[in-house]
Amino acid sequence: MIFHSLDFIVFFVAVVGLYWAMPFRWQNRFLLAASWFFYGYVSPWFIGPLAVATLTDFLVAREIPARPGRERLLVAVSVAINLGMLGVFKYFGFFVDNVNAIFSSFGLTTFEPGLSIILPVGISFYTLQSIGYTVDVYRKRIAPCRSLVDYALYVSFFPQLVAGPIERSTHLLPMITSARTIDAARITSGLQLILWGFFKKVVIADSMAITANKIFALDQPDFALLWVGVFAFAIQIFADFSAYTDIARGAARILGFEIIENFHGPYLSQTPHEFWGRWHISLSSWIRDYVYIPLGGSRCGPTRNMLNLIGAFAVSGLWHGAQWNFVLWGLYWSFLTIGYRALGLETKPLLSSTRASAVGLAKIILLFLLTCFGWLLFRETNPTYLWKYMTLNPLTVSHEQLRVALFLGIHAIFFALPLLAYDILCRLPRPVLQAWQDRPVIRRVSELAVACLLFITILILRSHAPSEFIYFQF
Amino acid sequence: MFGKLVRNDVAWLIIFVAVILLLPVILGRTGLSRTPFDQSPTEELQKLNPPPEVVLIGDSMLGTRIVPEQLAKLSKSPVFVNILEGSASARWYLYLKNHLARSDVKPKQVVIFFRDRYLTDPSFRTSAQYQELLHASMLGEEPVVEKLLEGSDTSRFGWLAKFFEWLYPSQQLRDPAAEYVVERAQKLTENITAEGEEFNNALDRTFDMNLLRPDTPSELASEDLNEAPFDASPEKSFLPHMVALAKENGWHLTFYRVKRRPQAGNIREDKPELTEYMRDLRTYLNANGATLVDVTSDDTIGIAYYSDGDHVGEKMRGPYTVHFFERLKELFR
Repeated sequence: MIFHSLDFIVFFVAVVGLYWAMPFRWQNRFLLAASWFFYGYVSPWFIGPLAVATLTDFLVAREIPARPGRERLLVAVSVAINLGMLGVFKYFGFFVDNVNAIFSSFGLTTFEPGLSIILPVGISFYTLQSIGYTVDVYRKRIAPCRSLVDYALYVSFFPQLVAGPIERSTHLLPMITSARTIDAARITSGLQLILWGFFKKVVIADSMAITANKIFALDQPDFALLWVGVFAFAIQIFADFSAYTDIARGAARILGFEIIENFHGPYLSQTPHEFWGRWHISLSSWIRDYVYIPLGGSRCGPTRNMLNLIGAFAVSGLWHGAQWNFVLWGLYWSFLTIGYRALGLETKPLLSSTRASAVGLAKIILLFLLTCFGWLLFRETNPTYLWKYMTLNPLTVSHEQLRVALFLGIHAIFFALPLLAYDILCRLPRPVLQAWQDRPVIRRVSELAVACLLFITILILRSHAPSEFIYFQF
Repeated sequence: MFGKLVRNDVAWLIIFVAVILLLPVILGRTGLSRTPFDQSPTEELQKLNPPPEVVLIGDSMLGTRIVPEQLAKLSKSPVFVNILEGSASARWYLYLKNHLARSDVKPKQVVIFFRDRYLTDPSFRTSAQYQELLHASMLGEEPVVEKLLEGSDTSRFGWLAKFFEWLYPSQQLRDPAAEYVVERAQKLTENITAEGEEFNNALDRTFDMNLLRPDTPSELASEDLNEAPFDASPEKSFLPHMVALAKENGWHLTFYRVKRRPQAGNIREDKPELTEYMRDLRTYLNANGATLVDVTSDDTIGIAYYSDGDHVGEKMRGPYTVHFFERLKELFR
């Protein structure tokens, strides 16, 4: 079930009504049933792998404290089963394609896989969430969950099941096991988040998708036009993915849960390190804690640290999709991070406030341009076209395409403005934000005005070409 | 009092939800009207001199296949090619009823270009961006259209979608609003870019279908329709109504099924259900004095003809026109 559908609206209203009407002892069971219904709404068989992952990690984690000396083995079993499933569903075709490519380069016979596998949506997200729990139990950060219902709800909680944020057991499980109380202020705030998410998805992301798709469908775009397409995609992917997170957070908040923030003004970052602390925060922090740090993190020599970074980013890239361009995208970010460190750009220079602002702005613009280059690697899955695009000559731009590029660029900026305004507002100095919090009447009335504006804009400016959330494919 | 209400969380939640949901209801009911009937297609028909004996109707399947001037030359008879961009059976019906039948033009032949099951999917291309075009073709109350569209939405919450459409009529402003944003962007670039028509032409030239990547997934790929069997009931599609109009007005109707993009070896194979559907469609049309021309199995229309998706490339439109004329020579006599 997708968020921006009538089916979801009906489902959610019914779930919220029934959920708050029942006592706590029934709420988790009900939410679990609702989550599985949500997940299996289109393809009920998707529940199979989800159930396997849930049961495996529930049983394995329960055994960890009970079998001293075998903890590592148990964790390995959990990781092997989870990654095995992910490998079969997500990477089998990729593996076969690559083996075939090697075979054919040696003139050997290639083979056709006997089965075509459909990727269950959200498998990449819940696999990481489930593995994270087992490792947390192994690291004694959390006690094994006693109730299968509670644990199953942790893995399949519908607001964040399909596209995250990837929750941590130490954060979500305690909320699941303790009683929630209905809170009108939180419901209002949840509705605001949902509205903002819908606006970002159906007005901004879907409109930008049209521009990006049109340009990326061209056989010979000029340099300027291609980069406007990349810019439109940069806006699309941010609006799309952060919209999903906002709707997820809003829905969870209405149900009494506070799930983690996944985006925090990423395009206003000055360095790659800062960017990854603001973009898909739940994934980057997961990779940091469960891949990068176990590899040795930064507590080793510079060469090893560099290799750890490259490894962690490559995993992040491959997690996104079974295509080489995603690996390339991951590696690109690792080189950027290493490059920034080597050039000393990660540290903030001691400058006067005016100069610091100017330098900061220049760094934001530079990193945004580099991020856009990364999005080109991410967006273009055809290596021939990727190479063609990367080698476009900026000096051979036709006047006509330049005019079209300028027009589409300004059109894209129109749609990017609300995102920019929101991120700037979020970064206002703390005293300003506090003063805002301290004036409830003004705050609430202006929030209502913004919400009305968003809803009316959704009604009249939502795209005619609705699309699925980009991260559903991962 | 107001401050007290605002500070009370429950009261504020109720106010918040009520204002958001009701404000657009009120605003949407002030000064909004449906797109009026567009008379210009009838006027265009009246201006044709000599009046056409053959009228071709269709969407881009027609637009990317037939070169009107060439067809007129080949047929040596007056032909009118009317490309209704983004159209489907609802607009074809309305065009026949509200323009062709109401004009002084009395063609002998009417040819409708279509793909697969388009003729019996009444709701196809009638909502979202197509709604305004549909309204512009509607002459006041259109009971056939209203009834067919109402009955065709079999989605689980179609009734709810209809309710929202009724509740929030401001949604009709979607096209003008999108155009407004485009105009604003255009205004800001007007110092460098040419205005109006010329700029639109520049956009069209840049995104011409012949300039697309060969691996572009066809926008048409998503337009595969349902797999329902053929149903000639007037409550299910516009087809019987079109056939009835043809009988009333003395036109001979020909439904020309285009060949969709062929697979390997220039062949396009239908699924068994579609083959059965086409057989039933042919039987129905023959029994009602109309004709079905299906070129799907014609291997001479190979992949070389196509640009993106089911569209024929610009260079191949001439040869395609010749092919079309040869195949339907009888019509032009």
